Amino acid sequence: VVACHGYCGLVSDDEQPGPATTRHRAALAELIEEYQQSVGSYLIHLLGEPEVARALTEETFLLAHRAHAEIRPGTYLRPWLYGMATQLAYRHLRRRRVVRLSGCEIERPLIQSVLGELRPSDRAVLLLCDLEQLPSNEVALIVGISTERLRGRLARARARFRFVYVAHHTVVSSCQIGHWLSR
Amino acid sequence: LLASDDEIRRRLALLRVGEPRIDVLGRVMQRIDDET
Repeated sequence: VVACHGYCGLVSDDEQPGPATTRHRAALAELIEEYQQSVGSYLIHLLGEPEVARALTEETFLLAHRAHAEIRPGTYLRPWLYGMATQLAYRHLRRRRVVRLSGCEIERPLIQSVLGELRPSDRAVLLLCDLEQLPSNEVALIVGISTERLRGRLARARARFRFVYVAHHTVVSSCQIGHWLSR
Repeated sequence: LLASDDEIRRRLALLRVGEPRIDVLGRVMQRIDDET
C-alpha cells in the first residue's frame, strides 16, 4: 500500500503560495504518472467505454488536486484514488443504465461482454480483486464495505461471472460451429 | 469451465492484452491552469 506518496500535506497555512504550488504540481505529476495507467485501465473494464474511462481518469486526478489540502499524512492514496474513480464510474453508470456489450468473436470481447452483465458493484469488486489484485482490506476501503461483506460480494461476483461466461461460451461455440458448417 | 478462482483470474488477465495507453497528465495540468 502506498501511503501518502509525498503528495499530502504539501501546502500548509504558513507557506508561500508560489513554491508550494510548484511543489504541489510536481507531486501531483508524479502521482498521475504512477497511477494513470492502472486507474484508467480499471475504469475501462468497469465501464466498457475507453473514452469515458479516459475522461473519468482525468476527473479522478482533478479531484485529487482539489482535495490535496484534505489528504493528510497516513492517507492511503491508492484506495483513495480507486475509490474516487469507482464513485465517478457508478455515477456515470446510473445515468447511462445500459452497459454496452461487445461482439462474440474472440475470447477478450467475450470476457468484456460477461463483465458487462454483472452488476456494477460486483464488476468493481471482481476487477479490483482478480484483475488489479489489490489486497482485500484496500478493496473494502475503495468500495466502502467491510471485509466480511467484501468476501460475500466477491463470491457472488465470481459465481455470476462463471454462470454468464459458461452461457456465453456455449453461444459462441454454437456460432463458431455454425460458421464452420456454412463454409 | 472456470472451475477455480485462478481460472477466473487468468481469463480476466486477457483484458490486459491491447489495453490502450492512458496518459492524462498534460490534460489534467492544462485544466488546473485553466481553473487558476
